[in-house]
Amino acid sequence: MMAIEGYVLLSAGLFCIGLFGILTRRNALMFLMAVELMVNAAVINLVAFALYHGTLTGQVFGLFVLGLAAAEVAIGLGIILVLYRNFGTIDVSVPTTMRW
Amino acid sequence: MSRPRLVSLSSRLVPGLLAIALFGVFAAVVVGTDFAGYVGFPDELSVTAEIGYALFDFTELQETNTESFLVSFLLIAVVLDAALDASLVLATREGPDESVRPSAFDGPSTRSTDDTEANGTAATDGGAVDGATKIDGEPASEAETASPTAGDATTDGGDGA
Repeated sequence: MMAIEGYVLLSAGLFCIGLFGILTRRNALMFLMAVELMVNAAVINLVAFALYHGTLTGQVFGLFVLGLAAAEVAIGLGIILVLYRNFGTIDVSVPTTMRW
Repeated sequence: MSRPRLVSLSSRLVPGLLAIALFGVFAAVVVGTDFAGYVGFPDELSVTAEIGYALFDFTELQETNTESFLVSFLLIAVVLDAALDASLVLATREGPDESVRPSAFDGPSTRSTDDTEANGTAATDGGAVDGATKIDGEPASEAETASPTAGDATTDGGDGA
């Protein structure tokens, strides 16, 4: 069986890939996917440490986080749709009216 | 033949180095941590069944000491429903005649402007050919007086002579 360090390193790698995607991508869909990578990195940590401690609380929390991630994707796709409808692009750097 | 576009290295160099540096920090912390005291689950334990018991608050069926999550489960269900409704509201068009085209592509010639609406009000002038007064006695606006072709000849019943 894989040691706990392997899971945590996998989670750290996923988180850093997601961070790289957020910092470099301007396409809103890619942005959303990068955020999902970071959320899933946190879920891997929850499940790994639930196994480490022998409790199921982390696994149930992982399920909840997946549910919230699905809700976030639903809202995010709606926002991207409105973004395209109003600006003709899904480049996140184009809409600047709410920037401060 | 289409190929993937090569992006400039300069725009991604700093974020890439930042991500790699962060992973290095994470890896150093993980490798330097002593993860002794591993507990794990017994081999005969059905993890899926235990999660189900925890979600639905069946404490007497549980083999592990997991807390119950029934309220959290219901709250997440409500949040998911709200998110589904919100996404439908965001995606619904405001009217049946709303164009699929993004509004950013619409030029000024395709939009209804105030001038056209002002010309349209001339149809309710009751046939006042001079354009000075409307039927309700109010003086005509500048837009109506400035544009004598604002539909008067066709809507006044032909008594403008």
